Parts: sequence; structure tokens; C-alpha cells
Amino acid sequence: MILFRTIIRGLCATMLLILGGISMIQAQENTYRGPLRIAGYEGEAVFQYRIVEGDTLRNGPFRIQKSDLQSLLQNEDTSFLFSGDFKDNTPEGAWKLRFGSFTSGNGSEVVDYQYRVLVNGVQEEASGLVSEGRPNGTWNILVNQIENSEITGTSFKSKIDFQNGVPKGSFQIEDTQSTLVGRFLRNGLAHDQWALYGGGDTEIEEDWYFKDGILERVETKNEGEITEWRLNYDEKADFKTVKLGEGYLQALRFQASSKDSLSFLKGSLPKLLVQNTSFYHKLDTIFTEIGTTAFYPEWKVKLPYYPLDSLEKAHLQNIRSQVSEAKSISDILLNSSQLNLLKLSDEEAAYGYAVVQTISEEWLQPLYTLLSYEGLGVLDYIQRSKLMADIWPVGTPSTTIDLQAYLEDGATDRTFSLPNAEQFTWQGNDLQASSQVAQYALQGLQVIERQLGVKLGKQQSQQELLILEERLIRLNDSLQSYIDSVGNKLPKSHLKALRSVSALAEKQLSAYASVPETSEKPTMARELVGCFKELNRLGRAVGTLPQQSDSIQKRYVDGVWNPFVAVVMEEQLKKRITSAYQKVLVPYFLNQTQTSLSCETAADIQQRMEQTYRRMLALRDEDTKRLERKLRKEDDPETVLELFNLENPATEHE
Amino acid sequence: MRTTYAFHTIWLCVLFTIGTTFGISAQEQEKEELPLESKYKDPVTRTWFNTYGNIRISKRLFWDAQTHFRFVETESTPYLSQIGQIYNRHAIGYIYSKKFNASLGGVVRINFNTDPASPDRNVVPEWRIWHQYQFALPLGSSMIYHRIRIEHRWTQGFAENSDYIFRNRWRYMFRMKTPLNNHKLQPKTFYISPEAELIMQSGKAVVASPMEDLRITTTLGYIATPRLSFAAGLMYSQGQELSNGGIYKQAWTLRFHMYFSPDFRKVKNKLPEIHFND
Repeated sequence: MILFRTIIRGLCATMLLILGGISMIQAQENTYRGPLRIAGYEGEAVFQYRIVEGDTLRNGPFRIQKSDLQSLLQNEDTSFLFSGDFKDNTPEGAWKLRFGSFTSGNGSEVVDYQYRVLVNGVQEEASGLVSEGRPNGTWNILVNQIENSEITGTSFKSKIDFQNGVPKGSFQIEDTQSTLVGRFLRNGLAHDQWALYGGGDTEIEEDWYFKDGILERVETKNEGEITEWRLNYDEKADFKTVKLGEGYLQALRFQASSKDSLSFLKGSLPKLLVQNTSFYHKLDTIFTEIGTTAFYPEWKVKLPYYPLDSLEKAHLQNIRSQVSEAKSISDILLNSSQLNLLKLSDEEAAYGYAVVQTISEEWLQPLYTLLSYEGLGVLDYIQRSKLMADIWPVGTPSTTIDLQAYLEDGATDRTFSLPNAEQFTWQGNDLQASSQVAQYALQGLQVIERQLGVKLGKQQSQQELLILEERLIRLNDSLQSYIDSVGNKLPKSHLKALRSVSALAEKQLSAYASVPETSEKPTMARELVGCFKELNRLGRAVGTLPQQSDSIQKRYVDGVWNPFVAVVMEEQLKKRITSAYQKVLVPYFLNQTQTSLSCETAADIQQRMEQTYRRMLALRDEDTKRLERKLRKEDDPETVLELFNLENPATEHE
Repeated sequence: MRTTYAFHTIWLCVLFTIGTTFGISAQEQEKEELPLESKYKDPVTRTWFNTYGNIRISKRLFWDAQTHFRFVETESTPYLSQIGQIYNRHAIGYIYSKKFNASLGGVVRINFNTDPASPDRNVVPEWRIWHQYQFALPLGSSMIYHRIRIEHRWTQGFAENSDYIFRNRWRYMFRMKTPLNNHKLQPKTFYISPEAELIMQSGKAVVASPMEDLRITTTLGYIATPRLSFAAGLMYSQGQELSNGGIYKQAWTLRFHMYFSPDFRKVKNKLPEIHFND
């Protein structure tokens, strides 16, 4: 009985769980509307999705697009539209991808209550079927030229059939000049004749002959003259299948018997191939990000295989990191405006710059090429000797760098080598030697960077000194011209004080001028700039004393009604305070400016004057009866200042 | 503002009403015999020392406190003169605006008998109620003033048991103050002040001598501070004798004035001093 009950309870619980699960799945079917970013394309998206175990799985129609009318009307707009379907988070079914670059054309029209703005530009459109994220069926790529919203021409057109990502049968790629027709085997290998026809004319211009993915020969026809190239593969080498793309074309360069035979690679056929593959790379970036598999088609060719061993891979790794570091140093130095100026006047700087230039152009540049091959994934398909001959046509460089080509005409011929140059003993042309070259280049750049760094630092401090001295002169000029401008209007006592400020400035300036140039001089100049600023402030404070006295006088005036005259008359208030200011404090400040003035005291004197002035303005409205009593017969300025509650700033600092 | 105006108006009405009430009082008529031609007595010389106090007691009210010492020449004191009257005039004044003020108060004057031969009393008091309306107007750098002063006056003779007689005095004075060493009247300024005052009188005792006094003065003043001024001047005056309208007395008076206007209010109540209508 108990067992029966348990079974019933278990069944009920299971039913509930199943029902709950179904309802949860149903509830998680959702539509997303909002911004989305895919492989750098940012736009407004609408798609269906479901949440399974916390993962968002796209399922159903998907659409993302971006177009900005405002941007189009103002300048130009880059638009895009991707639309298709997903099944279990994988693109499935018909897809269309559009990329437009438009400017607004001439005029607009209203159609069915909508404004239509005519546009000019280019629209790229790729459309085809996708199965499990891979091209399946016919894919068309079109690049249309648009004028006033009409297609005026097609600059590129590609039509390829795929089966589960593998091209099958014949294909056709054309641009405005020519059309390329060829075919693939069922397994996706290029096969037979790939023929390029001239536009409108059926005469064949270029023929590439493949056999099971191996390009055997090339025929070109120019003005009736037929030229044939045969590829010079290493017979001993194993052939390996690679994807058709730019890397393959680069690798082909090393399969020719001579440099002349490479000219077929500059023809129209490889250009069309590259254009086509780069479109598919673009689609691949997008589909790979939104889907779960790589979209790039399996069109295949074969190349001789020279795999990199682990040592070579390690050398490549070294080269990559060292070249990257060296590049950042050389970029900074070559682009430094300060160094570019300094090298015009400084021989050592010019020398350093030449070293950086030489290393950058003659050492790093070939290494960049090497790394670019690595990036295309073709190093495994190039014979090392041919690779090195391509990278270092005249052999790896010497540790003693001749700078003649990079020094100015007339400059002494100089060389550069690292102090530890003898430790670098590369010989021959291999990746190990290239790795050492990279290391030497990096160390060389680091040495030069240090040397130039010191020089630039010195130059900087000299420039700073120059700026400081200019400021000093300006400050002194400003003080002198201020004194000249106010001198005539001032009472003699004030003028005398001003002259002593000016005299101190002159004295300090000539003392500074007589100091020899040492590393201490910028510090001195900086201090003197501070001093001159204070002297300027003090000068102006002395110059404005009469105005301040007037302001105080006016502030201590009150309108008093004289009933006998029936006139409001001005009455001087708190005469003891104003008199203490005029007769005790002002002469005291003027005297201080003459007798106790130095760079150290200038600020204090000026501040006391300013504080006193502010205090005087405030005292007018305060109850000052006691103060006025105490001020009677008081003529000691320090006591007066104390009575005014003005501390000596010098004592405050202590 | 409107309330203030109404208040001022009522205040003025009260002052006038008081004045006119006293003006219609009955007066005793005296018999007199007029000469065929007006007779001018020889002028006497007098010296007056007057202090004028004007003490602010609120924003608009002030206490007018005047004390005058008036000396009259006698035969024994031809120039220095002898004390004739001591004069105490007080009033509460109201400042309506910078251009108008009014006062109401009382006067007690002590009259000294300057006739050495007189057997009568040496000192008798005289009482007055007075009100005054003064207009002040700027004119260029000068000020001009019109003063209307009405006094209700009870006087008695020096004779023992003499009765008080009641008279009204109707006074109008025109005065001008012109700064001499400054572009406006302000402290440290000398000013010259010509003035003319006509004093008319009425009352039962006044039968044929309505013109009590016509005073023509020129004063030189000095404003020491807004609260203290000094002035000195010479006044010529003439007027009908009460007892006989045909006889005119004359006088030359040296006048010395001190004007003071202390303000004992606390600072916070003083400010702002000049904006009466704020």
C-alpha cells in the first residue's frame, strides 16, 4: 500500500515536471528588437530566439539593418542589411546580405505618402542558400553602381554553386572588363581550364590549366601573341590541399622558375580570384560570428608542402615578438617631431635618426614581409631557400650598419654596430638567422632610443629654460612698464617704493644672467619666475594704494541730514581708523617695500597690504568704539595691525 | 506711501487748526493817537547770541531746542549792551521730506527791564505757542527757504499786576544760503545767507500797528561739520510800535549763531539717513 502511494506520488511529480518544462520552453520563445553588433556591423535587429539552459539560441527569422537618413542627407551613409533564417542557432535557408555606400542624389519624390530620396553610390549584394551555416546551392555576388536610385552598371558579379560548402561544377566571375569561367571537381579541387575572356569579345586572354588542384601551366594572349608559363614545382615535394585565396597566389610566386615567369600573377585572372575570395572572406566573418561553423567555401588547390619544424616555429615566434617591439620603438622615434627638428641641428641626433631609419627600412621591412606570409598561412608551402632569397635578396645584413644612404649630404660617413655585435654570428639565410637579425635590430633600436632619449631630455630642459627666461623677461618688462605708466600719477613716497621693487627685479635678473649654465639653472629660473610674479603683484599693490585709500575714504563717508541747511551732507566716519590707515599703515607698507624687500618678503608685504585693505572695508560696519579708543595716539604700525586683528603672515607661517 | 501721505496731511491740519483757534481770541482795544507823519525812532543796537539745536529723536521727528541771549544797548552800555531777553524756544519737528518740515512747540521768554529808571519789575515772562512750516528748495548751488511761522503770544508789561495781552504773530521769512568756497553746501564751507522776514501781528491790542517787524539780515556762515555750523551777521529791522502805529522803532542787531544737530540714536536706527521716503 505504501509502495503504491509512493509510485503514484512519483508519477504525479514527474508529470508536473514535464508539464512545467514544456510551459517554460514555450514561455522562452521570444522576439528581440533592439541594437545588435555583428562583426563590427552595428544596427537594429529583429530576431526570434529561445532560451535553453541559460543560452540564447536564435531560431526563426533574423534581420539586422542600419541606414541613417540624417547622415545620408548631410554627407553619406554606409548602410547594411542582413536577413535570413536560423535553425537552432545556425543560419539556414535563404540569406541575403547587402552593403551600401550612398550619397543623396538629385531630388526627391513623394510616393504613397512617403518621401523618396534618390541616392548615388555602390551596393554590394550577396545572396544564396545556406545549410548548417555553410553555402549550399547557388550564391550570387553583385556589385552594382547606383545613380539616382537606378542601377547603372555592375562592376562585379560572381556565381558559384555549392554543395555543403564545397563548390561544384562550373563557376563564373566577371567584372566590367572580363569574365572568368572555370570548374571544380566534386571534391572542390580546381580542375581543367580556367579561362578569362575579354569583355564582349570571346577571344581568350588568360588560361590557367589545373589538374586535380595543381596549377600546371598558364597561357596568356596579348595582341595575338601567346605566352606560356610552366610552373616549376619541386618534384620531390609532397603536395597538400590548400584553400584558394590570396595566400595561394602568394605561394605560387615561389613556384615559378624565374622572376619573369611571375608576370602571369599580375594579370586579370588572379585579380578576379582575389576579389571574389575577399568577398567570401567578408561573408565568412559575418556568418562565423552569428553561426556555429565556418562559412568560407572549400574551394581547393594543391601546393608542395614544406612544413615548418618546431625550431622554425620558435624562431618565427621570436621574430614576431621582436619585430613588434622594434616597430613600436622605430615608429615613436621616426614620428617624433622633436627628434625631426633636432636632427636638423644636432649631428648626433641626425646619426641616431639615420640608424633608426636604416634598421626600419632595411632590416624590419623584410621581416614584416616574412611575417605577412606567416599571416597568410603559406610559409608551409614555400621552400625555405626561396623564401629567404625573397626576404633577403642580397643576403642577411651585416652587424655593421652603413648609414650613408640615410645621412644628409656632406655628413661624415658613419656606421652603427652594437657593442656586443660579435655575439651575433648569423650566417646563411634561414629563419634562425632572421631571428638573430630581428634581435639585433631590436637591441640596436633600444640603444639608439636611450641615446636619443638623453639628448631629447637635455633639449627639452634647454627649451624649458628658454621658455622660463622668456617669461622672466616678460615679467620684468611688465613690471617696468607698469611703473612707467603709473609713476607720474603717484605720490613721491609711492614712487620711491615702486622704484625699489623695480631695482630688486633688475638686480635679481643681472645676478641670474651671470650664473653659468648648469643643471641648477632651470631651478633658479623657476624660482625667479615665482619671485618676479610676486614683485609684479607687489608693484601693482603699491600702485593701487592711492586708489584703495580713495575707496576707503569713500566707504567711510556717511550721508548726514543737516536740518539747518536741509541738505544731506557727507560726514567722515571713524576718523581714527581711517587716519591710522592713512598716516600709520600706508607709510609703514611703503617703508617696508623699500627697506625689507626681497624675493622672500615680497609676497608677505603684498598680502598684508591686501588684507589690511579688506579689513578696512569691513571695519566700516563693525562696532569699533573700543578699537577707536585704543587707536588714540597709537602710531606703532605693528600694534595698529594687531588692533585691526591682522596677524603678521610671517609669524603665521612659523 | 499713501498712508504716510494721509498722516502728514492730518498732522498739518491739526497744526493749522490750533493756530487759527488762538487767532480769533478777543483782544482788548487800546486808544492811541496817531501822528500826522510816521515817526522813526533812532535805531538801537542789539547783540544776539543764538543757539539752535536740532536733535533727532526718530527717523522723522526731531526736537527743536533754541536758546537765545539778546542784549540791548542802554545808555550805560552803548555797544556791549545789556541782557534784554533770554529766549527758550522748543518744539517737536516733523520731517516730511527733504523739502518740507513742520514744528509745533512752545516758547518761554524772559524779558528783562532794560530801563534803569523804571520802578517796575525787572523780569517778566512771556509765553508763546508756535508752529512753523518750512520749505527748502535747491537753486543751483544755493538753497532757498520759505518759512512760515505762526505764534500765539501772551505778553505782559513790567508794571506790577499788569495783565497778559494776547496777540498772534504772522511771520514769513525768505532766506538763501549760497556757498562761497565750495560748489555745494557741505562741511568746511563758508556761505552767505541774505534773509528778509516780515512779522505781522494781530490781536485786540493791535489797532494800528500790524507790522511788528521787518528784518533784513545778511549772515556769513561756516559749516564746520554736518552737525555743527556757525554764523554771524548784521540785521537791520524796523516795525510799528504797538502803542502807536505811527511810530517806527529801528534796530541794528549783531547776530551770532551756533547751529548744532546731534543724533543720539543708535547706528542701526540711523541708516539710511538720507532716504526719508523709503
